[in-house]
Amino acid sequence: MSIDRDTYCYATTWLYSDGTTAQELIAGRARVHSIVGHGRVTTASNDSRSLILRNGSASGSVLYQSVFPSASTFGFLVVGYEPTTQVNMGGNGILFDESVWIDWSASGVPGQYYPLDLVTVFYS
Amino acid sequence: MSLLTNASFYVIETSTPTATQDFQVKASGNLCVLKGFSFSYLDRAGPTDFSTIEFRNGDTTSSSLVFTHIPTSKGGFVGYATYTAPGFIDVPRLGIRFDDGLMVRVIPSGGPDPPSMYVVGQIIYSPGMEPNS
Repeated sequence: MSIDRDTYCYATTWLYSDGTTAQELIAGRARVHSIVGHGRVTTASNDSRSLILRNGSASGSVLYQSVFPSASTFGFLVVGYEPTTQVNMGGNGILFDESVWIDWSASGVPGQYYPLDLVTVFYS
Repeated sequence: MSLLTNASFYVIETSTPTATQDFQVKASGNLCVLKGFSFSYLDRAGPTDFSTIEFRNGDTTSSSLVFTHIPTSKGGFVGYATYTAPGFIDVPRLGIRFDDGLMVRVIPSGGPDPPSMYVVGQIIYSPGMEPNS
């Protein structure tokens, strides 16, 4: 009996410096098991765009979307609380048939700021 | 059959807040499977300072970046919140293979007044016994 290499997982990282336009994060079919995001310094609280993972292209189906916590713990006083948050998908993860693209919601949906400066995706 | 059952941990504690430091969790040339990790800061001076943690395959002489992590950078005015909650990151499935050893690089790199804090952390990993076929 052997343990297939596919029982391990891999990781890839998106940084804010990579740009916020939709871009391919993982080429080819993949299962996303977990996401880790680090809050970016923002100028207002409770005013962030949501992170989106699409299948196959910049206009592909949205298979994951969430707003990550960011910004201040004091409300109007932006004192810089940038949490690192992990989201585990459970089971066999979310299956992306074609490839995994990272994208952000439009400005004002729900907010205008990009809340993360790092996104690490664990996948297989 | 050999199993990836035993876990070990490695403690990271930087000795200076001002320079990049490497920590060789598993020696170069050895398989290692990363299972999870956590990091926090000490003596944090500014509300937006943080360190970048790189998980690299290899050693200080030669390595390749596998992925990057930034621990929670807890805010507060200068002098407040000098310790941050670590927050454990659980690597899914069997973990991530590092075929040529695991090196963790701590880079005090972010914020308005870096570098200004020490980093402590723990790495949970499997010794990396490859199962027999």
